[in-house]
Amino acid sequence: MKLKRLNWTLLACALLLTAFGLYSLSILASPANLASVSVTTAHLVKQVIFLGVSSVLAFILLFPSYQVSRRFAYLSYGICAAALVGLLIFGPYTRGARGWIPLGPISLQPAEFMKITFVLAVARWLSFAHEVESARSLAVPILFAALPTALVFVQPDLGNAILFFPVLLAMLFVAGAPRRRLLALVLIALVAIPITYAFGLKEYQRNRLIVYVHPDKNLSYQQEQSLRAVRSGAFSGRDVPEGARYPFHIPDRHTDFVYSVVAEELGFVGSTAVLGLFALFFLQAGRIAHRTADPYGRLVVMGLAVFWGLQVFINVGMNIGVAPITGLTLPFVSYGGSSLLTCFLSLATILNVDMRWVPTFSSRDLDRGHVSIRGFEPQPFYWFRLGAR
Amino acid sequence: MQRDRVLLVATLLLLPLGGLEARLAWLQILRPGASAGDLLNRSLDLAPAARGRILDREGRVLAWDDWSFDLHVVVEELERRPQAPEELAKLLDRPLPEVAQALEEIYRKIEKLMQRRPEREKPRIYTRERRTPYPLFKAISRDAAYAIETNPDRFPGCVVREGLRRTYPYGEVGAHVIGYLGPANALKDPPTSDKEPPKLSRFDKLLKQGYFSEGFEELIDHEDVELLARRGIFDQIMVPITGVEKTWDDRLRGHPGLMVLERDPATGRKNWVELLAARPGEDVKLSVDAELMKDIAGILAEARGEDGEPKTATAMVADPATGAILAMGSSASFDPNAFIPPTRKADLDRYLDDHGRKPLRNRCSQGQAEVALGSIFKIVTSVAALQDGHVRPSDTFVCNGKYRADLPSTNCWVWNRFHSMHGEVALASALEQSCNCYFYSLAERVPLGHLSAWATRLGFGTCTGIDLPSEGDGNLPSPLTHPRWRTGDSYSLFIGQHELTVTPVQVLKMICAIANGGNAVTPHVGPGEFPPRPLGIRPENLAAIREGLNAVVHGDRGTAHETELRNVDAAGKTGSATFNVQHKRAHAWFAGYAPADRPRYAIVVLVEDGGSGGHTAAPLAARITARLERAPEGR
Repeated sequence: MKLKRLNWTLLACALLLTAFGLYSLSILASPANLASVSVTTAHLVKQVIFLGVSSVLAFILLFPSYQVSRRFAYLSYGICAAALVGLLIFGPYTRGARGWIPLGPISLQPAEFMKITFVLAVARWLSFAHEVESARSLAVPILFAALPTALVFVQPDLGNAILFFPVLLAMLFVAGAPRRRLLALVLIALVAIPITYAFGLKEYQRNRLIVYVHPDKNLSYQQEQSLRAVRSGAFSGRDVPEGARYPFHIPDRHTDFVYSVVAEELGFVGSTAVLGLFALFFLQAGRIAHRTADPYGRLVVMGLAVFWGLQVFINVGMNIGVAPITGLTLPFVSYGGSSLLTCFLSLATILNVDMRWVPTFSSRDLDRGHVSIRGFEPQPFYWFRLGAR
Repeated sequence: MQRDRVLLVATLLLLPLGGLEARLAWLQILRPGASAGDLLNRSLDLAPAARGRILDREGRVLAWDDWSFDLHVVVEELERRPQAPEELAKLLDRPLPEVAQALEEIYRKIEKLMQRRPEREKPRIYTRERRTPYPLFKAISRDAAYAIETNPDRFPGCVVREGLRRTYPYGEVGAHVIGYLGPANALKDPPTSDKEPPKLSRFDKLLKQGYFSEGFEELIDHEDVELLARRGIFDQIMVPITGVEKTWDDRLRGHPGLMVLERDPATGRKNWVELLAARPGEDVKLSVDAELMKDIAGILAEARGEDGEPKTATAMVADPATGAILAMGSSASFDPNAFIPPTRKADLDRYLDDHGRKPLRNRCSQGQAEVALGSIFKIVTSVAALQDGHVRPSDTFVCNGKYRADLPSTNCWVWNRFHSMHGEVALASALEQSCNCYFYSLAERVPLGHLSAWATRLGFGTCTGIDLPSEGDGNLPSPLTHPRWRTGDSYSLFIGQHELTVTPVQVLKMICAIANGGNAVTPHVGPGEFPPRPLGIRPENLAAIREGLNAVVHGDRGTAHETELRNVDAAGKTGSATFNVQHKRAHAWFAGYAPADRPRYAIVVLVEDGGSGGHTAAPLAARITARLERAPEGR
């Protein structure tokens, strides 16, 4: 374990994004802001505490190798699935959904943690190349994805439910599944979409989607307000006229619509900075996945990256009026303990994989001095351990 | 190959970000928005949804949501004009202290809202709430509403909102059928399978019971819910308390929408933005006839006991073939309008008891309103005796006035009243004269179990299934429930005494079965299918009983013969159910049907503490029947 091998770029991206989140929260909680009176300093304090706890947990997780997680992949998946099932039976209703487990002052959202354990479980299954070839290889990961999709869908939490299947597809693709099988899966999904649309969705959910097909239909008030907020940000942030109040009352502004705060306050500059940080984050994650020799590590990194990538796309899209409202958070930026903790745990996992990647040239090249790696000395014991896996 | 795939996926992740960036450039650089709208005040509120109407069988409106103008006030803006409250008082024709008190109430609400919030947040909440419209007066006059709306300068910060107010045009008539509404704090927890029901907020309770449209909870912030709750918005939602309003609530209830009120404090201009459309409820058509109920209410109001005092009288009329109730009501009734805000405390207090009349109680069907039945139960005894072949209609018994010397409680009523006797009686004449001794004799022949079985089949001791809330099941005593059962108890039960208690609707169900040829019906007021169920009573037995019931009214010695009933084509049975032996007080009953040969109406009349059924209940039944005969054919 070498802290020197930490990927500082990735870490910096994550921390800067978190800083943007805290900044937005402080804007919303400021005493002058009468539009979102529901967000208070207490939220800010809570988020800072969440941040501290998450960072400490993430730091601790850097020490054991990510290979350890492989051993617990199925177990943790099972625990999360059980929590989701339990939630549907015993869970309390908060705002009409059964998504949160109340634990005193905080409440946990098992669906968030399910994302990580889902990626771990699928990665473990797919890390043996021969598994990808057989028909069974497809059935099991599909079941892995179908279970959380169904459980989260009936909570109901449409936004989180739709993420699992695309992530599965990406992971299968990276694992080297034959193209015809992937194509078959995509076709199945294409058939499933209209069926779900017709029978699985409720009236109001359908209306939200229709908006994007019929241009003459109005966006929802929430999205319209968000668009106005984004536009008022202009290039360098909203200039505050005399006597102006913070105008835009958007429900869930500190969670789902936090991006509109950044865009309103910091304008194009700020909104681009956030997108740029995300781009850098995904670029780094892609690089790490690309150079890691271990298929398990590669799959884990890619799975997590695709999860967050989709979430960023949908969330920012719904803030600027190109995607329907689905109730997804913006990773690292949105308010919310479970979301932040999941983000930091995935960050730790990706960093962990990066710290332990080994170059895929032979040890002979190292020994002969053809290749040298900063901060890395050949250790016979180290190689032995990896080989005995 | 796998590594190339990683590159492909990573690229696919980055590409959409480029698209988003382009959209941002379009929005923020090419089409930047003006901040002009920043000066608007916004406040979130529920959009009221009309509840469905309740109609009678002819389509007359029994309950509907009338428009009302509710005055809301933004205190910060009102304060700008110190003389506004005074002018408001003059315009609304209310004393100034009342207006001042209502305004004070708003300030108190705002203070309360700030409680238990961190000190630092208080100024912000205070400013915000002072800019929020709070309800001041409900249901102001149309002229006042126009005056306020057209003079924003004179009444700054006054907002007139079109509200809905549940209105019951028939007032006290049929109030027990229709029921009434109350504010949501009367709402009970929804039934849950879990042993320990989850603690739900009022909003979640309402949400779970379906008071909001789907998707409502996703449009509204978690904290907004709390804010609305603290302002008491959810408490103002009206939920059904009883009656048809409750049983048919799923159909009647409207789903409130969500709206934002945008106000420009500079110009006073207002704009409603609808977030979610309100969805009105559906109408429900009942089987009752409002005009008939009105006439019957008039008849019942004149009910007098044998002592000449006014008594509480209850009556029901139904179609015996289907069980559809045409009218039900009681002289102890209430005006459901009194429960719709603005309410007056005096009204509500009065309705709670009203000198023991308890007008809120639905005497026709509700539990705790069951009373002793008396001789009408002899119809059940007759059915049980005939059906199981223990006696034939022509079998005679001798009434000596006293049945058993060792049991003084087994005297016939003619002995107690006139020291007389009925002599030789058969079934029809026993019913006609309501001879107790005949039925005591049946007690020797008919096993108690057979009587219990038939009583249950005809609807006693169980709920009839009427579609009104909290129906009572009455009490059908038996040796199983009374371990110290003695012979005298059996005798009492055979003439409908002992601890037998019933609701009028149970009696209605029984008399319907006699009138329609032996089918058990489900008495009902609402729409829906309630198929009759044959009980298997043989026609010749039924004919014998109906002959007896006819004689009650038209026979020379019938217990109801000396009333107006003999002039109308009806049949039935009287009952005088002793409930206080010491003071010889009894409930007066009449249960019958008309016309006698092919019944179209089943009638039950109960005069509480009325004394003899033949003298107090039967005359009321006569007037009701006369009113029914005037009704057009087919009803």
